[in-house]
Amino acid sequence: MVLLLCLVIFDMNIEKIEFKEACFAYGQDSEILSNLSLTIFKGETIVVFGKSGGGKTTFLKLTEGLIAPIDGDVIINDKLSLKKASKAELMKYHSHSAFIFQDSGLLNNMNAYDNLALFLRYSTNKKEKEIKDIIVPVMQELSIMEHQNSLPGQLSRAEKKMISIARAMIINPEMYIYDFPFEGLDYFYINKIKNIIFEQKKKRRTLLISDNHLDFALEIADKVLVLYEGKLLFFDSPDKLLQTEHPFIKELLEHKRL
Amino acid sequence: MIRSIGRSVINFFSYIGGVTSLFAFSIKEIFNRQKEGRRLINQIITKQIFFTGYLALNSIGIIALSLGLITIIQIFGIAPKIGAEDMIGKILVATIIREIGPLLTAIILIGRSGTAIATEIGNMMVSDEFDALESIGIDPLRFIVYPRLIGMIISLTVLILYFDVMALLGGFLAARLIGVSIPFSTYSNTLFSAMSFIDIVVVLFKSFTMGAAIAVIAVMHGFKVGRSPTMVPVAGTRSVVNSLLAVFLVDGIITVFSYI
Repeated sequence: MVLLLCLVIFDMNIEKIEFKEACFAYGQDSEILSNLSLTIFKGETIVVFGKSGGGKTTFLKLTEGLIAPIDGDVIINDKLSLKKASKAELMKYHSHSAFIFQDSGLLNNMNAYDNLALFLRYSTNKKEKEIKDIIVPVMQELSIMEHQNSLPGQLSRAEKKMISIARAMIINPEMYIYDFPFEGLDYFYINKIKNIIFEQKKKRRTLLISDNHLDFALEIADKVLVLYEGKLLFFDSPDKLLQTEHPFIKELLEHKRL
Repeated sequence: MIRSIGRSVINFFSYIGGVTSLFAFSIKEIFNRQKEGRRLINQIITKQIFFTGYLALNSIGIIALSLGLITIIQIFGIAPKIGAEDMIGKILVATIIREIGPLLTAIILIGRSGTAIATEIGNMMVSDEFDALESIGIDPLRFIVYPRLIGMIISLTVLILYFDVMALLGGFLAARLIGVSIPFSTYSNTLFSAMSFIDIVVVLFKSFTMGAAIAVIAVMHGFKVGRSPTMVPVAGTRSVVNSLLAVFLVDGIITVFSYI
């Protein structure tokens, strides 16, 4: 019965992610995020802004279910509570979304190809030939074939980031969560990743992106989310952001003009 | 003062709680019928046995041989002088098979593999690898912790057996080379007649508990690294110290209970 319930929950798409007064703190420190209430709908592109250490990554990790709120909750499709979810439910949820880590999060003792194959080897019964048939086109699309035998330690930050994105694409998730996708990259790779994100938007994937580039946010976002002092300061369309009078947002916009 | 004692007590029990829950998870996982990832997990267990067990054969072989040589020469030298020739088999079984074999093998594995596991997991914590695994629907405990625990238990069991054989057989051969004259049949009869079923049970129980303790403590300290790279070497050293304490404690308790 429980198994059946799990299947019912996860056969559905991730239509809605609802934060209900979610709070989070690391250890006994002061709260990183407090009373966060908002709803993300399927297919939306949301760009997250805030000061360094302001809780952007924490917000993304809460959305992915990598951490649980200490208070409040994050509810998927009005059914699954990420705070109360069992390990099996969380693992199923994870396989419907992909998190691209700021530092790539590749497994350092595996080469790039094995990193990409990991999900398929673990979660499916596919044979090596079938796995290769899935991985190679993605590697070709992202022009990373030459790195397939390299260990993460032998790759540049940008190359690791590309492999991390490829790993996410192989899962073919409904939602991509990018934690600072352009951090420390040159113009060439920034453009490359922007194009990938635009392609994913065209395919109506839900996208959550933390970033410091307001230009990009204004270009792609359906909604901009601004966190300020651990609280939700703004969550609306980019057009409305431009009309906001809050000093922090004005500073953000000023910075954009610079 | 009282607050400090209270905090130490809480830390101690939370540590024991963490170690116990990791161990309980791994034991539960042995009986888990979930097929997902099983093939990959079995491959990791095989790799773990290769690194922990196979690659330790040389060092354990040399140590066992030297120790066997010393012990056998001493026993065969002293026992006849005190009229304890009949006890030689019992002494060898009690010292080498039941005590020194498991203890020394465990100590070698703490140095070789316990630190390796603690620092490996520590580095994985620092570089988001655990979160990354979870984010693609792979349970890190099942994928990382369980194979290391099973690999460690299997490796330790086999290595203890190997240690005992090398110490008794190799030691005997080495003793023959330096002039201690006793026929092999007499030597082996002495040993086999002194060995009982309970000796085998005790050794197997020690290898299981010590192997589990080494792996779980190493994993626990790896987890404690969190996001700080400077904590990685600390995890290695703390894992060694606590594993040594655990192994001596476990050895003492099992030995005492086996004689009650």
